[in-house]
Amino acid sequence: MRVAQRWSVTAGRALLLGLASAALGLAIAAARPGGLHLAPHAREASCEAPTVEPKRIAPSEAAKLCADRDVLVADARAASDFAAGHVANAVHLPCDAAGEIASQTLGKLGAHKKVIVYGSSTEEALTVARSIAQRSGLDVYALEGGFAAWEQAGLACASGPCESCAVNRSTPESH
Amino acid sequence: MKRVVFLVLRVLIGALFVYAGAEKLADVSGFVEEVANYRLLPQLAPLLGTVLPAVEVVAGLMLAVGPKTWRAPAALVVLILLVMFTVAVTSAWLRHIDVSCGCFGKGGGPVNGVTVLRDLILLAWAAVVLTSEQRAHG
Repeated sequence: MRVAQRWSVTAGRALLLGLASAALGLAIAAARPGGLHLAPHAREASCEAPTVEPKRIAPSEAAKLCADRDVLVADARAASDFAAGHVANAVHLPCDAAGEIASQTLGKLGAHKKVIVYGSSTEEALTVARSIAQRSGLDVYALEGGFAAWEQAGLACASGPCESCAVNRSTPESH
Repeated sequence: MKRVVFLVLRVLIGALFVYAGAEKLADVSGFVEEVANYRLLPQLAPLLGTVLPAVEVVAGLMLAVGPKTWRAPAALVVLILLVMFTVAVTSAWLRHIDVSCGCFGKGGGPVNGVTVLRDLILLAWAAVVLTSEQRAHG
């Protein structure tokens, strides 16, 4: 068989293989409980539709940034966790909060150029950080290791109880 | 000796694709998001994210343990996939997009120079396998 003919046969079979496996992929997706979704994702302003992957930042690096006036620290944990203790000057911005709370807090981002988000875990911080990045277009960082890593590192921006949170839970970010 | 080396190269890259595809198949919606985050073909992200994992698994299987006549076509599919992946990660790297690679589902780490280098090595690897298979069984 000539070389060109050989390549032609290979290309034809490759096309067949690609199409058959693509059809298999579609069939598998269609058979799943959620069904097949091929429409482009609507990029809604929610925690579920990230467009920008926030940068991850280690506690030691975040500590260097958090004293900067351009930097806002956001706590993505539950209100009770925030009330029990949080990074000094952090605002409360949980992912499962009502959109109104998020909007209020996002409104305070105007003077800040960077946002550091932390949660109970890196993943929790990433979820909220994506939402902030999408909605604000600011430079957003997600703290690696969560609040526990921050505490464990014993950094300068230490945690402390949030007195106003305990008194007024409706506006926890006001602390 | 040479045959053994080519056999190992072929089976290894086939197995790698089966693994990568299976990881993505386990979380297709997550992979669709990863594809969309590259901001290259947003309209096609759901389709690509849905079909690519299956193509990877099938091509990887055919390359590693498939019939002789289907190994070269499978190697060509793997090569084309790697060209696509390399273009995507290089583009993200050059545009300074801080995006998760998505190379092995949720794993793979962020896109950086190492990711690009890894894809280039895999690309060369696939080209060697394709050429050897084409010569042997074409």
